[in-house]
Amino acid sequence: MENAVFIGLSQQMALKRQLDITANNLANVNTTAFKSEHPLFEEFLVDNFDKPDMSYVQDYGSYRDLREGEMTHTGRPLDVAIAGEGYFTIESDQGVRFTRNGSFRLDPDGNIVTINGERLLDETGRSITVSLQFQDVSFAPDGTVTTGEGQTQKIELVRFANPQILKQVGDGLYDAEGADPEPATDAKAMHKMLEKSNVQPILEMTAMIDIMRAYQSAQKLIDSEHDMQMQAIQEMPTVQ
Amino acid sequence: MRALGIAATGMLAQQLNVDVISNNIANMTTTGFKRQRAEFQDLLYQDMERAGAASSDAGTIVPAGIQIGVGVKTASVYRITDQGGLEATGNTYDIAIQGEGYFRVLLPSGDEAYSRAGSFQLSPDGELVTQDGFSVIPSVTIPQDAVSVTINASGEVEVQIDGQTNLQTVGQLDLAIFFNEGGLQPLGDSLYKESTASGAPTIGVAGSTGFGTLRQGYLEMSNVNAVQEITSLISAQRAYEMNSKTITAADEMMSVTNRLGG
Repeated sequence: MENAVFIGLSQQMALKRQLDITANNLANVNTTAFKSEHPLFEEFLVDNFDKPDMSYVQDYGSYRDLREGEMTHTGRPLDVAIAGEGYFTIESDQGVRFTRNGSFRLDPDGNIVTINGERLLDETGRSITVSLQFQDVSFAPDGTVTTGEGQTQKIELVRFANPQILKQVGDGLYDAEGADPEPATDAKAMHKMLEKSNVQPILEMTAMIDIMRAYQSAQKLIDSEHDMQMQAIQEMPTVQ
Repeated sequence: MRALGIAATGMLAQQLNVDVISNNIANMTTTGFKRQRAEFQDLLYQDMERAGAASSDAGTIVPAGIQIGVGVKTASVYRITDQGGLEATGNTYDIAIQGEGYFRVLLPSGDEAYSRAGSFQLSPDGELVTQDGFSVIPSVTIPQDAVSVTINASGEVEVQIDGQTNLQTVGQLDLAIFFNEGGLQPLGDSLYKESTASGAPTIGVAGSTGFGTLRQGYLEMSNVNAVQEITSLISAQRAYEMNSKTITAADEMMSVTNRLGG
């Protein structure tokens, strides 16, 4: 008898999480190189003995929309965007991380670092350092960094066989969790550009309306089940 | 309801974005002003279901997992130091820097500050000072009987004394460059101070390697681009509105639950 309530509830829980994901996408509409996330739903069948199976809903996963965000010209010498599939390799306190956010800084020692001070690595795993006369720093499409004094190092641009395994750890960083990166041969470094967030606000807004309406209809289902039970309780004792 | 908190972080971020943009617009005509940009980062993620977790005894695994982000934060607001346009003013003591570098200014506290606003004037003693009356370092004093003052591209100050034909060098302006000029700490009044992020200044002659050159009779305008700022303002406002819609949606969903059995 209560199955309808539980089925409605399973939908509501999934929808709530979908709203959380949509809210996070919308909150990050201006976050550099942010990739939007989308939930995946599946039918979850519960064996109901001789009666038909009960069909619940389950959000079993989410995927990242890997489409490239819009590129904007910033004119800042330490901004680098990646065109094509690829990630910068970053050394964080927790180990090697990957990111597409190429808004870099210099730390007082001359290392090229992320906003949070984590170092950008070159192909040999060393941090990229520029000399004091860095004013002429430039990034070639293949990732070669040239400074005023003619010193060069090459950024390590990597890709993954299955980019969906990358786990978001916040601050625009991804953790490969042991998966091996391979050189991103098709990726191009674009100097003085930044990649914008790829969130499509209109789609997220319509998704939000969908979520709300679906939530309400699940509630109706639960409500009518509740009414039926009430009716049964009220009417049953009067049966002669 | 997590969505409420997430949308709140989004609204706070856009509010700050609007603050930064409005400051840029307010300083659109400030000499030597460098525009700022707010940079955002996603916050932590919560694992609802781990990718790679076993989904059955037979060893099948969850292919994707669910990660729910908890919103957005402002990672930094930084200055974009590209060159502003040069405007000819014709004033003798208006000096613009074309390229890298900052003028050095002596604060009343004895500390050194840096500025790109080169609208200088003379003090009653004939010393070259900023609009606030702070001396330029190294100090340059123009003799009372000077009839013309020339400041060349490398910062040499030459004067012609009344009744003389030869020019006389009375001082030499120099420039400070920084390893990471974006890290300079703003003091207001177009002045900046050295910080651990900027590194110590390197002092040098204008026009030498890595240093910009000076232009007498010009001022550097702010590098704020009005069209760009207004479009950013519109997009920040829309982003703010969308986040507030999320709050409405989350609220409506909660009220639906509250009506249960009512």
